[in-house]
Amino acid sequence: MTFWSRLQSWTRALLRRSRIESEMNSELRSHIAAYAEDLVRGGTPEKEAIRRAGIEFGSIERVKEECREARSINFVEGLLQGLRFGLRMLRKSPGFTAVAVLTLALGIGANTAIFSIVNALFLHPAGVAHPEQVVVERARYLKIGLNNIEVSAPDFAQVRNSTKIFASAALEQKGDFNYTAGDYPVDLEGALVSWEWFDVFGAKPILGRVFTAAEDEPNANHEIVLSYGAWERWFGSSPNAIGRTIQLNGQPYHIIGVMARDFHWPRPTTDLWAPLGLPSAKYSVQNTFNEAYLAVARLQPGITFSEANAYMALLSKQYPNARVKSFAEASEWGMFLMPFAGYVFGDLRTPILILGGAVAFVLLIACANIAGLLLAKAAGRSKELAVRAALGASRKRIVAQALGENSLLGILGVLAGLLLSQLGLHELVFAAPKDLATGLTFPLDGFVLTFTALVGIVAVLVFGSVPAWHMSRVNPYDAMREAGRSSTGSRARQNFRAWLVAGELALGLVFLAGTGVLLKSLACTANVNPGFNPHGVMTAALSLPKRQYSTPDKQHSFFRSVLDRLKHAPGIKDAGAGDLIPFVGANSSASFEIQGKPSPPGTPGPHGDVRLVSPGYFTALGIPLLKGRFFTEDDRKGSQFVAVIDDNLARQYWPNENPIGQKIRGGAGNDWCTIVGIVGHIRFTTLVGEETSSVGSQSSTKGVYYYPMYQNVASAGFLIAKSHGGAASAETAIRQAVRSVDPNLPVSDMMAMDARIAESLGPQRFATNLLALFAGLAILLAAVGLYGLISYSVTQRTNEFGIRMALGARPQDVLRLVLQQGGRLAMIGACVGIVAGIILMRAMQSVLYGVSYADPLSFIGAAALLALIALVACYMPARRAMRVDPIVALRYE
Amino acid sequence: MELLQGTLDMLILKAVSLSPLHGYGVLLRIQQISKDRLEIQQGSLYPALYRLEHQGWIASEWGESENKRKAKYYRLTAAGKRKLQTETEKWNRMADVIEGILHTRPEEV
Repeated sequence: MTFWSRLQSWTRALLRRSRIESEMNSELRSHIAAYAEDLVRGGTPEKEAIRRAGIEFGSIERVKEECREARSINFVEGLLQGLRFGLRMLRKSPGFTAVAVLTLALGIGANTAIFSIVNALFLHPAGVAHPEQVVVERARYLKIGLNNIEVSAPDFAQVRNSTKIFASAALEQKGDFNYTAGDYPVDLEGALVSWEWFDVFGAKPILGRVFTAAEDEPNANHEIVLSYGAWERWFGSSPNAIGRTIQLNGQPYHIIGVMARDFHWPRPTTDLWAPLGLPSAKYSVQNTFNEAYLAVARLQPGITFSEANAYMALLSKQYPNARVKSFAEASEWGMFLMPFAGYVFGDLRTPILILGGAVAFVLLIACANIAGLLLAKAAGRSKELAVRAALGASRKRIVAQALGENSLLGILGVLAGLLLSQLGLHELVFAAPKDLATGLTFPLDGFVLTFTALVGIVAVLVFGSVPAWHMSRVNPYDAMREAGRSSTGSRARQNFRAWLVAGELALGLVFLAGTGVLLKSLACTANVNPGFNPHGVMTAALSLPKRQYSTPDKQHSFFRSVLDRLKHAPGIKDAGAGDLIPFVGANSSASFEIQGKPSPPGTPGPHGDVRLVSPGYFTALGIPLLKGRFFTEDDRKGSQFVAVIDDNLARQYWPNENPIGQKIRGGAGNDWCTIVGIVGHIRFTTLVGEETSSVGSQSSTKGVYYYPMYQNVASAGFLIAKSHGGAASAETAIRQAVRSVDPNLPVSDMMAMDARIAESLGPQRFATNLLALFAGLAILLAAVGLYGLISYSVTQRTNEFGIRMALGARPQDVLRLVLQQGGRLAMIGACVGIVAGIILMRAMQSVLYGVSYADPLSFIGAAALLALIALVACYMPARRAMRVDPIVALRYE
Repeated sequence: MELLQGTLDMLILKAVSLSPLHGYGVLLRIQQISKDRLEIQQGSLYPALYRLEHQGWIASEWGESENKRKAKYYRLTAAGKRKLQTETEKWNRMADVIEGILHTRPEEV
């Protein structure tokens, strides 16, 4: 017997039921007729023959039923009946349907959303064919704490030459291109790649072609391949862009291809690719330890990741000469591979796994709740089922019907869940911090749909099996004798459900209170004074091309003229410039020396953050002067070398003396600089907590020293414009000022300082939103769970209420009785939730700011909200209990 | 003689393996080759036929019977052929064993 023939048989049973019935009928009747004819032929009178044939055949209806059973028509029939019945039932109780479908949709939607993310990030990174075969080559020096860095050209050459292991390999280095498209020049983000780059990812251009080996030679012709985004933005998606020659960095480049929309590696922001054209000398052994490239490779078919990685470990031990060997061994140098998805999204893996676990849990609770709701419904139907069982419906058939009823709910839940996940993903991506969301798309592909369908099936089996089991266990004898009371679940089962609901309520309270605490913490953080005045300040980045601005003098005169124009632009109060400004995410620090205070040998010496700024930097940002003076236009090349420090640095290195007049050296240039002023300390990368720097996190009390921009190299930096009105009005002023000095220089990263600060709160805001989302989910689920439980118990106690009311209880008494039951659960849930919430928030204390982990307002508010929701969930079934008519209730008994 | 429990399926498979038959024909064929020694409940024949068809061992199609009646003809499928073979072997082995047991004399124990 094959699975296939059964399936065929089932589908036939499903699709051609009436035909099968009539065929069966005529087959049996023709049998009886044929037998009767034979009897007639044997000499029996016709009437007698027909009678005998009928008797000897037996009950034709029983035979038919046995035939149906033999072909499993009954099971299919039961399913169909269940579906039809389910549809009627759902239509009849829209409230139940809405609650059940919504609950299921939340559970399924949350799972689908998270799976979509996992699918897009890890399973199928955009635009990469067979991503599991793509690896990134990395290097490490364990002895000096470098655990995962880029590789050098000779490292890459080893991979490229191992053609038995790697099918293709390519190298990349970032490059910026100035391009004048419209009114303003723009800064295009380029990737300089070796020619096999696209082969490694299995990416094909949608227009034109990609590089050839000959184009990847030093000083070859300039070819570029555009990203889809750049092609759309700067070339209006015109097919004629292919073959055009454009000026980039003042040089002609030839457009040869356009990549598909989903391919943007190595970075989501890549605008174009150009050949790297590395001269062969770069691959020589001397450069073994000069890491400057991202190297990627595609494994040969059949080679596994661990095999390739083991091969890399072997390669790392084969040294070309003694110098390399001694340095490599002393620093514990080695090469290794990372899966491409792991390299790109590595730091997201853990949070997403946690999120995945959380949503699976949510689905489980949702299923438990729906099972509870269905049980409550099934309890009222036990008599109906008992009658059917007594009339001969097989257990199989009853289960089939129950499954049919539930799958309808499952189908609705899956559809609503899909819709919800698409909406939710959209919101989630928008709520995510910017760098996390750039360039990510979450396609609703076959994998996601399959996953959702599977989740739906699992959900139906989980929540449907309980009532189905319950229904099939109905004992007709007991059920009919006791008029439906025998199917009150066992005491233990009821208790278990009560505990489950109490747990859900507790979880809801934890999430609600947590959201409250985080919201308050976020509000407190946003109100932190950064030490300067960000309001009305517009900022923008620019980078001076080396070819044109080859000397500090040329750079200084550029900044001087831009700032001069900007300061006098209408609506602008003040303008300044610096190599770094607050809240761009970057920081730089360096050691320095203090004249007359040499540090003892073997100690690290004074250290601080260092900035190169124009005189207007302090005034435009509103940094307060505490002592001495700011920089002036006269602090220029040729005049006395000066410095300004902040109060943190002053306190740290001159605790009991006046730093003004003291001299420091280091961080930039090599001359002794006289300290002329002390300014207030400002927050630089985060509003609260530890600041970040290039080496990691650093103490927020670290001091800062400033040098005049005009006494140093100033090849790149940020412009700051403080306007009288809103920051937005300064945008045009900045663009015009730069354009009037150098029309070919692009201005990028234009952003108001307030927006930069708000963006620095992105991760906290995201976490808060996520928790709020889960709080909403949890409280909704808890409400549904409570509703299901109370409404089940009200159905069970109908008789009791009838007796009570017959004995004189008023409807209010019954109401109180039901509310008491729910209130007890809510109370237990609230108490457990408060304790668990305080413990949890205490563990999160380090990320809270300006609010106690046991913030009374949050916890009391959450408890009040919980009580309100519990009241609503209990009131609906309680109202039903109040309306019990004692006569009806007792007569049913 | 009453039919042994579980042997009807095998007999039906054997009957339709000789030539395609309709339901009544199966009954006649079994009676014929058993020389009327086996008694088959007419009603029990059809559930067995439907079960065998559901399991894919026999297939059915409509045709015309000897006396010009529309009749459903059953024939053996390839899977049914294999099934019949294994069932026959199983039966023979079983019969040998039972026979051996039944013919055992006291001195052989």
